[in-house]
Amino acid sequence: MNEKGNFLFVIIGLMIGAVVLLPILMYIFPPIDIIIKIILVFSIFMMVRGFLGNGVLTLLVSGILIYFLVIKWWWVGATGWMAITLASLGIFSVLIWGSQTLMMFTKK
Amino acid sequence: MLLTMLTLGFSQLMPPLLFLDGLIGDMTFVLKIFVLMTIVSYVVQHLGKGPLALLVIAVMAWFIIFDYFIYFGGIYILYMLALFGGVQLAMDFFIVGPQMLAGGQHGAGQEGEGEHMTGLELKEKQHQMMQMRKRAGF
Repeated sequence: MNEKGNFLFVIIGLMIGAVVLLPILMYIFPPIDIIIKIILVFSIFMMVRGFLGNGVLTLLVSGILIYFLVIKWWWVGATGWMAITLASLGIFSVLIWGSQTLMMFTKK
Repeated sequence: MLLTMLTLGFSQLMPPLLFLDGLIGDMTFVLKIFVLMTIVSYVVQHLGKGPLALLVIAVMAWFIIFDYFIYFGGIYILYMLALFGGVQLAMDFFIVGPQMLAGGQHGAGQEGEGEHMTGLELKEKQHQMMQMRKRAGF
């Protein structure tokens, strides 16, 4: 029973750690900050263009979103982008299954 | 002296606490933009860019973004979570993982306490996990 509880805490901790790692790195290393912000700008613009197509409205909406998610609340944007990327690639599933296997190995 | 130190410490601590000021409002605004983009994309995909599409966009946007956003905001977040594999994640987290953990405990009880798994046993466990996932539809 304790191991089940530990398992849940380990998983939650790993997930939060994986997601929060990027804003912390951005805060510590300025080059990473610049690179990730450029990637975020591209991601937002591509996403808006996918929704609305080419046009002035796309530029306007992209500008608003970039202001809020890259400039003003950059850590929210970076955290969200990291979470979406990890979830899309299935990294969270790897964390869950890997932790569970690791707990089987370390079980006494 | 102590009061000064406390005040200084408090003033240094407060900015990190106050930096959340306005976050909820801004993120709600951003969420509304995302919802509006989804509505526009959905309607344009089905009706093109005619006046009827604009009318439908306006009506849907009025109800979803202004009137009933308190419901549709949450629904949109759930939809996005499902889209990015949140359901599969929940399956792994709440069903398959604990089940396998319970299975592992049971197996350990049979084979003796404190015994580590061999590579063959681990392979068998992983095979069982895959079977469970297949049965669950993933």
